Amino acid sequence: MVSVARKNLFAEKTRFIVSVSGVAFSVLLIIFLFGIYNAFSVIATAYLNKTGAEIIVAQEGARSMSHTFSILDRSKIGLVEGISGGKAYGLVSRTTNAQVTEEDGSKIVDFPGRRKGENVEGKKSEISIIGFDTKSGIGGPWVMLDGSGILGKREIIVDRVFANRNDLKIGDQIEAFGTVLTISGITDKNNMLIYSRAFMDLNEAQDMLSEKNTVNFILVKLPDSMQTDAIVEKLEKEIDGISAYKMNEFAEINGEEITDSFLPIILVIAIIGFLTGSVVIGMTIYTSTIEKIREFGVLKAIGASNKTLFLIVFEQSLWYAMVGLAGGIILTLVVTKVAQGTVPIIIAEYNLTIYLMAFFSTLFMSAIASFIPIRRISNIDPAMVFKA
Amino acid sequence: MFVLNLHKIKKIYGEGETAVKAIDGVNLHVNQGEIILIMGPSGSGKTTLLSIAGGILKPTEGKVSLKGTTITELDERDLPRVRIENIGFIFQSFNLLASLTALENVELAANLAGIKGEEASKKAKKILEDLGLGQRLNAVPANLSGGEKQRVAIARALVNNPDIILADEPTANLDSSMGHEVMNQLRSITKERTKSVVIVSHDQRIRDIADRVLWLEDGKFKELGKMIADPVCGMSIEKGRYRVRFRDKEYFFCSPGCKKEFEQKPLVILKNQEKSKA
Repeated sequence: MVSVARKNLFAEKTRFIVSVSGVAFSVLLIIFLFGIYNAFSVIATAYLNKTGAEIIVAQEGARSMSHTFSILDRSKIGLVEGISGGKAYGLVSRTTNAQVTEEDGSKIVDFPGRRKGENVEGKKSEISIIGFDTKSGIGGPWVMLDGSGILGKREIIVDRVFANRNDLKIGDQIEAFGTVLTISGITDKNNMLIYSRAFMDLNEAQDMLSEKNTVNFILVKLPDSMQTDAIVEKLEKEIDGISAYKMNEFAEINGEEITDSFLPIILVIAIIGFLTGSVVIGMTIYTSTIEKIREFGVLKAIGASNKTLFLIVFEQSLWYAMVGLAGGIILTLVVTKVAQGTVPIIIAEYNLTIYLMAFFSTLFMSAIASFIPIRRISNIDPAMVFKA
Repeated sequence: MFVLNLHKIKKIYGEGETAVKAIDGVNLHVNQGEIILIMGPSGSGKTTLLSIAGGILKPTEGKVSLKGTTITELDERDLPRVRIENIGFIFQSFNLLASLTALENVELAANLAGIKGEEASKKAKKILEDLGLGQRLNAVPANLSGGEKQRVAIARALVNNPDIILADEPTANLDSSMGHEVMNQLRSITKERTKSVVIVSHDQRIRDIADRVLWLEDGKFKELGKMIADPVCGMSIEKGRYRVRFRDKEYFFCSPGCKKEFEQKPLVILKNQEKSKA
């Protein structure tokens, strides 16, 4: 069948471009926001889920790595290992403001290991240092963008966002807890919005913090993960002053800190994007229908049913929506690339679910938009075509 | 059997004191292959009658039958199918879809009747070629002349091989020679296919293409034999209140405008009338 909808659309190129741009920007808003949400959701739980351990042991009552304090005597590592029957590893986690540059923006050292001076007015950046067992790698960074991942004396691996924000690269130095640390690697997916994770050798971290006999958490790797529930229970029962968690549960609790505060905001903005898109398509479809009301009257007079006319309107709406969707996806990828280059803290990850959600949202928008002029079309008097 | 049969059609707009009787008990029978021209002054009810005949407007009273089917008794939802399959429409202002080419405008009408793809395209192309538009198939209406547009409209009206063509003032937007040429083309193509045509028009110049001419005034058909021609515009009229006595003879006019024009230059007008008769 001759596509009146398609012909009408492409006959008016300017209107088409403007309307499709409106939809594309709405799609950009939806995909980009959910991409950010998705990225932070992944990051919120990914580190813990990727530690390689099945159980995490914390001081009794501690439920989070960042919002509650946990300190355990180092001797508990052996105890946990004995009871669980697996391998136990200590983990140190401490947040501080690391000195990254001098007041004038220059690096804080002249050459490796030598501090230029004590200048507290220079740039500082919040960092959460994780000391982990480098031999096993349990609790270490799970993505390496640069560097080998092997940590030597006074060396640290920082996150991509932390490095970009502070213009740091491998070999540069920062100061934390009064110790100058050399960056030996760049990791990814460890930026937690207000702070960023960095990784050190466990012994080095304990030495730097002068806390040789304590750790903050104990990670347990079991020979048989099917026993996890039972061992968690056993650990809590047999060791005083600890709380033991299955790693995925602990990760979820930690993740909620981000998702619970982030999700509602993202969701509201995404709904605004969705409504904007619907209004844009709706306005476009309505005005183009009104402009073509005489042509719809002609079609009705010569014998087109209301259903045929609705289908023309719906097809028009669908064209706007689908071309807008394609444009929106391309736009999102470009905007993400540009945004991440200029604002390093922006992280967005897109997956099939997000694209499908954008697809169905756009489809829904076009359905809503095509309903707006339906009443007008139903009421067209075909006798109008006899008027000159 | 008549192709189209209008029986005691009445159409009243409004109610009570403001009611206006547009059509007042009209009967009309159209034979197969017959071309009928309905003439009459503005507001006489011509277009209303055409809308009723085409199933676009419901009459207040009376019945419309198309090839034996009483379309006035059909459900509103069934009328579009009757219109697309059995009736072809030609409008005063062509009413082609602006974004479609000549071929697509005609093809779309075939599509609406359920003819799809290549078959629709072939039918549309054939009829446009028959009307001399073979070289203008891909032109959009904006690039067609008035005569070409009206021929595309004729093709659109004929593509589904309807029982009857209804044309509303088809020459109103065409110049005199083009109007006549297009109407002759309409006559020859419909005669060739033995299609019936009902044309409503003011245009005296197309009287010769019709097999029968009817005069509609005040919602009723009037006998043309009793009508006289307005010496200014040539329209057939009844002897009425717009009259002028000139050189012992009485002249009648369709409107005060024609009457005034005659009063200003009676000799010139009468001379022109003589010339055109000759």
